[in-house]
Amino acid sequence: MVTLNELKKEYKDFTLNVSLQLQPGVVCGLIGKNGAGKSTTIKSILGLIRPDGGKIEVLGKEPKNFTGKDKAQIGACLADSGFSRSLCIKDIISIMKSMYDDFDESDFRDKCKAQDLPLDKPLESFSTGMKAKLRVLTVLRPKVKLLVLDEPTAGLDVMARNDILDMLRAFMAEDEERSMLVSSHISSDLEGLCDEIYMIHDGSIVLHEDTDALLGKYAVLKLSKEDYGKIDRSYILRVKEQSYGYECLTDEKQFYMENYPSLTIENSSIDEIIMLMLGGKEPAA
Amino acid sequence: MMRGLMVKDYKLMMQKKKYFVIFAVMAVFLSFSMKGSFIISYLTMIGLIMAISTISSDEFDNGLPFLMTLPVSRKDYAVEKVLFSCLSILAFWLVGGILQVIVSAVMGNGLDFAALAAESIVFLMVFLFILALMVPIELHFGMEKSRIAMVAIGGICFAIGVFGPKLMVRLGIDPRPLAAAIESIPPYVLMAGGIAVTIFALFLSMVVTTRVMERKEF
Repeated sequence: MVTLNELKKEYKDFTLNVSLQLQPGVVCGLIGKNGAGKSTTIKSILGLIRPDGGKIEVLGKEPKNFTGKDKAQIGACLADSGFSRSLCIKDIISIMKSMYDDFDESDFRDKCKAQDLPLDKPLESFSTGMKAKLRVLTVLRPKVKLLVLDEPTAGLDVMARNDILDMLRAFMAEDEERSMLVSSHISSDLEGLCDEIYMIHDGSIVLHEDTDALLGKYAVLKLSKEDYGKIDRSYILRVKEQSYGYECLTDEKQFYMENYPSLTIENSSIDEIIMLMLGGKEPAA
Repeated sequence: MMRGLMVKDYKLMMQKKKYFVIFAVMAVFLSFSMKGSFIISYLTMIGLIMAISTISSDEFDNGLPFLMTLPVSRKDYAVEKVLFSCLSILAFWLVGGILQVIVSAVMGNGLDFAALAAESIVFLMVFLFILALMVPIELHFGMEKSRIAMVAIGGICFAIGVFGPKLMVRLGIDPRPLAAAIESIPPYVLMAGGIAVTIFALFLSMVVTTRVMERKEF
């Protein structure tokens, strides 16, 4: 569905250099802090910016060669861009009907009603959550093969976030071949949605793993300085000094549980993994 | 899928329909104290402004990146923008023409249809020519900078008009034979030439706007 091979984009004070692959039927999360390169990656995939190097292929084509038909197979949702705020949903329905041959008006109206979105009020009167829901609803069309969503839940309360995640889960369940790439800096949103996660930092992918593996195999070891000196550090990915000694991230939880049963080993959340991957150091040999 | 963009621009324009009614009423009232084809030129200009305002609406709140994710190419967007603006100007010009005829009939003025038609066609061509200039400038420079660019172009045209003949005299070229030659051209030939130049300008505008859009990054 999507292949980025050493995709490069250079700005004055930022360089993106990422490789990424999204297979059919897979939901892939792109996580990283603000300014890490998530939006630049997504804009490259959508053909909104021109890469300076590397290869990029989306639905078997380079985005610069996309036709209207190709674009109709992609449901794109941008964090800070959408229909003009002076339009209302009724206007958007007319536009969508003329734009897409698979747009189901009655289904769209029903979904808007279910989400309490008024049809005849201008978007400028909508709350952040309402605008976000509408942005997502407009991309959920039957012929969409690939969803590309940039921060679809940013700035929303828990209820609105859950509503959006539920809509996305239901949409993905309709077609097993459908894929989704979703960026977020809210890890809990991605934990329950994604099959695999790419972590991006300073324009580079620093971690790529299945979500199940991240939550099952990764762990945080809380070690005194003495314990840290004793253990086998072959499977320690990152270390961070703490008041009690060291906090270590491993991707071999089982190894440490079996060989060092007395150690404090805690299951790691994606947030903890991010904190240690980005804030920790590689262990000295 | 260009139809979708047309619908979008129409819907955006309809948001401002109350302004159009106000402008139309103003035009009718002002026309009682103005001679000639005031309503036509005035409303054609409003049509131009309304059409260009759809570009500002697209750009407002960073809307263009989203529009480029819709099933249209950058070329489609450029061509649609010029076509929609032409249609808008044409529609306002027609409404202006109808209102002008009604006002003239109400006032009991003897209406010279041939003169009015010729005059209004000139206005139509002038505004279409301005449109051909404005669309690529607006999309290249964006909302704020394009105003400066248009003022600069206006200034250059004014300078050419005022200082051009003086410069020709300084260079030892007599501008009078040129002026006389232009005056000797039959009006219908001038009109046909004007229409041809305008159509070419609109075509060129589509080409340049497409280039502008294809080079843009969002």
